[in-house]
Order: sequence, then C-alpha cells, then structure tokens
Amino acid sequence: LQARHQCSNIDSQQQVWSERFGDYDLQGQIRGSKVLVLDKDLSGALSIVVDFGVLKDHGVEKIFLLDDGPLDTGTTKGVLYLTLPHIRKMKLIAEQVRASSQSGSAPKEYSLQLVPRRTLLCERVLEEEGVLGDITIGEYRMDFIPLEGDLLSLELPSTFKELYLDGDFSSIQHVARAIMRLQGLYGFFPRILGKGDFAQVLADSLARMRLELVSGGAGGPSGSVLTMSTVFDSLVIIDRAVDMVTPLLTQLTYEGLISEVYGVSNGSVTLGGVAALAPSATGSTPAASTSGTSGSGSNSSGDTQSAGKRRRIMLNDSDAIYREIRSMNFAGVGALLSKISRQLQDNYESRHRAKTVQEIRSFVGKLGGLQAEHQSLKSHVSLAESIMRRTQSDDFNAILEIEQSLVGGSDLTKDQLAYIEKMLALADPSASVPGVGGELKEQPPVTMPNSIHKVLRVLCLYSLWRGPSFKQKTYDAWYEDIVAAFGHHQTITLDNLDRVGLLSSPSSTAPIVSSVLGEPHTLGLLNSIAPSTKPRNPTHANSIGFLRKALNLIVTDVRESNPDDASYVYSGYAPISIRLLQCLVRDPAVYPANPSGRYAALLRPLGDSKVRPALADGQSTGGVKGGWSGWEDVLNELPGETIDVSQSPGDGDSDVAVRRLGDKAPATLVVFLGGCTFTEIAALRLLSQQHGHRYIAATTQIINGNSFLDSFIQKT
Amino acid sequence: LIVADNLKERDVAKLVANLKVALKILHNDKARALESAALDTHIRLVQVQRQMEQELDTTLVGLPLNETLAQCLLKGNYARGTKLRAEFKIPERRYYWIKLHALVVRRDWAELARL
Repeated sequence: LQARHQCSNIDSQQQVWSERFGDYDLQGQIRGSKVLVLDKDLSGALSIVVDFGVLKDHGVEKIFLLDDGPLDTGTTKGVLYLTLPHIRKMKLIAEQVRASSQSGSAPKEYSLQLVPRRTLLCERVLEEEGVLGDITIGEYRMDFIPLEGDLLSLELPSTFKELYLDGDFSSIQHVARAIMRLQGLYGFFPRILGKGDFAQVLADSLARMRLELVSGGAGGPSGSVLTMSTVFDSLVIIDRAVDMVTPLLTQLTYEGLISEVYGVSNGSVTLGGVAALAPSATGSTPAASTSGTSGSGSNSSGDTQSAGKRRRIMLNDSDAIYREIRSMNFAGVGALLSKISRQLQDNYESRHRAKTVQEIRSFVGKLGGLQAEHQSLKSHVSLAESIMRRTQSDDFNAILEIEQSLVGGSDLTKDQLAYIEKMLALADPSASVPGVGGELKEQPPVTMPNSIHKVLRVLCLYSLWRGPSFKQKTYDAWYEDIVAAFGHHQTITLDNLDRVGLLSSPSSTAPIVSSVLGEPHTLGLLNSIAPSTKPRNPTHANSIGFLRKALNLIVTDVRESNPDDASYVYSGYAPISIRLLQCLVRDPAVYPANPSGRYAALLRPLGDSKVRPALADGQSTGGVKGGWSGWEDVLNELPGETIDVSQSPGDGDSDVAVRRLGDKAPATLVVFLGGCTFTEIAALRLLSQQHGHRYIAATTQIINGNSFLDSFIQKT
Repeated sequence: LIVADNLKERDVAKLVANLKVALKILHNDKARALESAALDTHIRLVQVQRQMEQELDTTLVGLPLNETLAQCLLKGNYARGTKLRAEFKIPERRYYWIKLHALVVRRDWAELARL
C-alpha cells in the first residue's frame, strides 16, 4: 500500500508539472512555434520532470541553452526564456534581444519566465538595458522535483551560502511554498519539528502562509485546506548548519562515491569516453535511453551523439541493479556485483536447459529484461572499477585516515599534519572538481587532484572537530599556506568560511552575525534571530565531543555489508542529522549500549525498553513520537533554535492527538534546508526499512563536500 | 575586505596602487592583522612577478606564490627560485616539495641528486 502511495506521489507531481507547463504556455502568450531558451542550471532538473514530447505538443521547436553570443532562432517567431533570476543572465538576455532587433530580422515575441520567481532587481536590469518593453515577464514556480519515490529536491544550488553568508532568505520562501504545495496535496502536517535558525524561519513562514490560507478562505476550498494529513505524521526540518560535519566527510556508499568521483547532477552521471565502458553499448542502457535522452530534450541527446563517447547514466531505482547497490557501503559493492553477474550468467545458461517450446518462449520473453540488466551491470561494474582504483590509492586512504581520526576525537598525528602540508605545497589551483559546475572532460584521475576543495574539506573538518583546541598558530600557518598555494583572492574564501563558522579562526570570538542582517526591519521579520552556526548556549566546552558521546556518533563495530546502523554510510560515523531524527523517533541506536544509561528512563514510558533489534517491534518505533523532550542537553550543544509546533486544529491536548494520528500515518517528511548528502539519504532508507515507516527526504539540493564548499570559494 | 573584490586589473602599476589603498584601509583595523599581512605579501609578489615576467618570458601575474615558484623552477631558473624562497620566507618543507615536483617533471636528475 505504501509503495502504491509513493507511486501516486510521483505521478501526481509529474502531472502537476505537465499541467503547469500548459498553464504557463498560455501565460507566455506566444502561440504557435517557439524556441525555448533554457538556463543551464535548470535544464537538468527540468529534463527529469518534463518530457520533450510534451514540449513539442506546446509548439516548442528547438531548445537552446542560454549562453553568450547571438541566438540563432531561425524563422521561429517566439522566444521563450526560462532562467533563474540572476543579473548576469538578464544581461545576456538583453544582449540577445537587442542583437536580433538590430539585425533587422522580423520582430519576435519575447517572453521571459523567471524561476522560481520574478524579482525587482531583474526587472531593473532589463530596464537599464532598455529591453524591458520588449519582453513579457512571468514567473514560473518550481516545486520539489521528485528524483525518487522517497526523495524530493528543489535543485536550488548554494542555499546554505545564501542563507548564512549573504543573508538572502529568498530560498526559504521557495522551500516554504513548495512545502505548502505538498500540504495542499496531502493535508497539513500535524506537527512540525526542527532544529536550526533557518528551520525556525521556515516554520514561521509556513505558519504564516497557513494563516493566510485560512483567513483568506474564499480563495480555495478552505474545508480541504484545514484537514490534517493522514499520510505524514510530521515534518522534520533540519538546518544544514546543525550538521556541517557530515557533508565534509568522504561518502562511502556507492552512490556517494560516484558523486565524489564523478559528480552526480539531477540524478544522472555523465561519463567521459575512456570510462572503460563497454564499446558495444552504442546506444545506452535501455533505462538511460528512455529516461536520459528523451527527457533532456534535443540539446543533450545531440550532445551525446556528436561527442559519441559521452554517456549519461540515470541513477535511480528504475535500474534494478543500481537499486540494490546504491546505498551500500562501497566495501560490499564488489562482492554483490559479482554475485549478480553470476546470477545473470545462470539465467543466460538456462536457455540450454529449455526443452519445450513453451520454456523457450518464456526465455525469449525474459531476454529483453536480461539484456537490460546485463547492460546496466556492465556499466556499474566499470563504474565500480574506476572508483575502486581511486579508493585504493594512497592518497584516498590518507585523507580517509585523517577524517576518521578527527571524527574519532583524536588529534592528528605528525604524519597526518605533514600530509596536509604536502597537499598544500603541491596544490593545483586549476584542478577540476567533480560535483561542481562543469562536467568532467575525461576519466577522473586515480588520485584526486589537490584542489582547494579537497584541502579545505580537511581543514574545515579539523576546525569543526578540534574546535577549542584549534591553535591560533596552526590557523595562521594554514592561512598563509592557502594564500600561497591558491592565490590572494582566497583570502575572501577564508573570510567566508570564518564567517559561517566552517573554518573559524580561534581568535574570532565575536559571534558570527552576518553584517548584511544589520538592518532593523529584516531583524523584525525574523523575530530578531541572528543566524549563527554556533551553539547558542553551550554548557560543555567541547560541544562536539559531548555530542559524540551523547548521540553515539561513533560506532566501532560496523557491519559494512549488512548494515544495521546508520553509521555504516561513513564506515563508523553516523551523521548528526540522522541521529537527531533518531532522537525524535526514539530509535534505540542513539542510546548508549548499556540499558541502565541515563536515557533508558525515557524509553520506558513508550513501552519499548527492550528495543534492539528495531524490526522486532517496528510498530512502536518509527514515526515521530515524543518530540525533543529529553534531548535538551544535546540540543543546547547544537546551533540554532529548536522548533516543535503542532498544527492540529484542536489546540487542547495536541500531543495526544498527534500521537494518535502519528500511529496511523505511514510517513515522515524530512526537509534538509541547505542540502543533504547521498549518505544521509541512504541512512534514511535504512531507517525506513528498520522502522517500517517511510522517511521521505526533501532537500534544496543534493550535495557533497565539494559542492558544499564550492559556493564559499572565491573564483578568479 | 570588499576592497579586495574588485581587483582584476591587468595593468600591474594600477593594480599595485589599488592594492596599496586597500592595505591602508586594512591597516586601520587591528583585528585584520592576518589579512593585511597577506595583502602585503601579495603586493610584493605582484611586483616580483612583474620583474620575473621580463626575465622568464611568461605570464606570472595573477598566479599564487607556490605556482610562481613552480613555474620558475620548471623553467630551470634555480637561482631565482632560491631568491624567491628567501624573499617570501617560504618554509623549508614546502619549498622542497615544490622543487622536488618540478625537478621530477623536468627530469633533471643531476639537480635532484644535489638536493
């Protein structure tokens, strides 16, 4: 039943999309044929949800990517732009519009749709460029894009940076609106929980929007608006600032490693020609050719053909093999792949055993499926091989070792510090980084280039974990090294990181208050929250050390190939974000091993003190039950506000009401504000399995350490 | 710090002048000692780079210090490299890492043996 529900979830989303494409087609008011000009940042996301066929039905003849230079529209009359509201892009558009009007060709109709909303700034830019009059502007709202049955994404890059560095809250509005849409579909979440300053802001704006809906009344069918959701028991908002450590670590699941090595964007990975892919794969795997090329429209499929060797592989559950291995710790992937290939071999062999006509027929019927599986197996084996080459390099292991010992709470050894020094000395400032912006040109090198991303990841980790014992002298030395290695403009990067608290100078004792937020009216809007990534009132000198114990972050006996705890995704470290969720749902994993521990008392009222393994009484775990109570000391050590709001109509004993509802509701929506990693998704999936309760992840974007830091890094 | 943003001058003389203004502003802020030191080295670096550009016949301005040193060594100008090292107080370890790397790339085994 739940599975079916998931399907309907996606279907309805997709339908909504198609419908709205129709809507905005009308809005655009360009009838007949037109050219669609897409923002590069959007094209991938769009390709997932909209079929090229649908576009054709609406009269789209050609699709271009927004780029420098004039636009060759040919004879088509209408031009439709679909872009993010960035000033640079506005200028590009203005140029193209002017160029074509000067060239004296037939007048065209221009329409600009801004995603996710139009801003005054963009209009100003267009006005200054003198083309505002020629363009009809509209806004095209982007909702959560269903990447998977249990994974929604807004595909908004650099949210975290916008929030914490620029003080730009617009992304919160987008998230809030997208959530409102979900609530419109499924009813209101009975309860909203969260952690983090901007989680608070988000919850506030959700509450406000709900009030507006209720008081607005007339606008919609207010009766349905007020119903509580029976699908979701609650909404959990986790601000990235709560857990900045997790994205910085090297992800050790298969999917995570693909994203570390190749970079995954919009649920697909693009492989260079030499990626040792089977040459027989002239087309691509059936899964890839149906969803990959047709969806992304003419531009990308043309690209694959002309480049010949480039391939996009869709990474999602439609690929049976990938579904099995995606969330596995990489240590186990090899074994499983070989098992699958043996199975496949057996299946092929079965044709020799087929004797009767009927048997042969049934074999032929299976053949298509087998071949598809064979193809995808091939590509995954080669992918895994190339990743394996990376993971076996000294370089990779040195980094991993550094990470593990930092996370384990010990200081770095001399060797490790020397290694960092070497990394800095032999840094390559122009190295390309997977998962950031441009696609990789060729096979990624076996050793990761010493890019600034890689170096900063380690240094940030050091700063986060070693916090109080981070010496000024070390910081100064690193500061100098980085500037010497990557250029003077990186002082800005370092300043950025310092301000958000990722790599903070020990001397900067002043609270991190973004100066952009200084104006009183913005503060009023925020209930005078000064966003900070530092704990508000820590009682322990070493917050992270306390957290490690309290949340049981480090698990020593990890079963990598047959996981029973979320920590398997990093081979021993469990993401703080996931542990927080486990606190909410009273998962036994967060409690210290001995049952007489201080949290055991908390378990008893819920009647499941003998809880391990969780599957045994999946009824009692799963679903948000008790809220944050009992975890105050932990929450104090984490940055940001704590949220626990009930949206139930009868305000009386809401907790009971919620609990009653929560027993039935089969799902919880977990929103990661500022991005989440593949490992966290994998961990959520594991929890879903263990608890018999769906955790659906919604995020602003899927990130890895590189893309997480990328937004802070100053480009030349 | 915002001053540092708009420094993409190609003209070196102008660049240095701009940077000096920035440095002055930074100097007034005691909490920014680290940044002003970095900026100071940067100004010196740009000036040295300009000199070296004429000597070595490459473009160097805009490159970070390590990269400059590597370029210099790759061209086989070891004396200049030593001078750079002294001028910018490059730590021993970092210097030899870079030099080692450069020598291997150049396959200059004789020089390598002398290290």
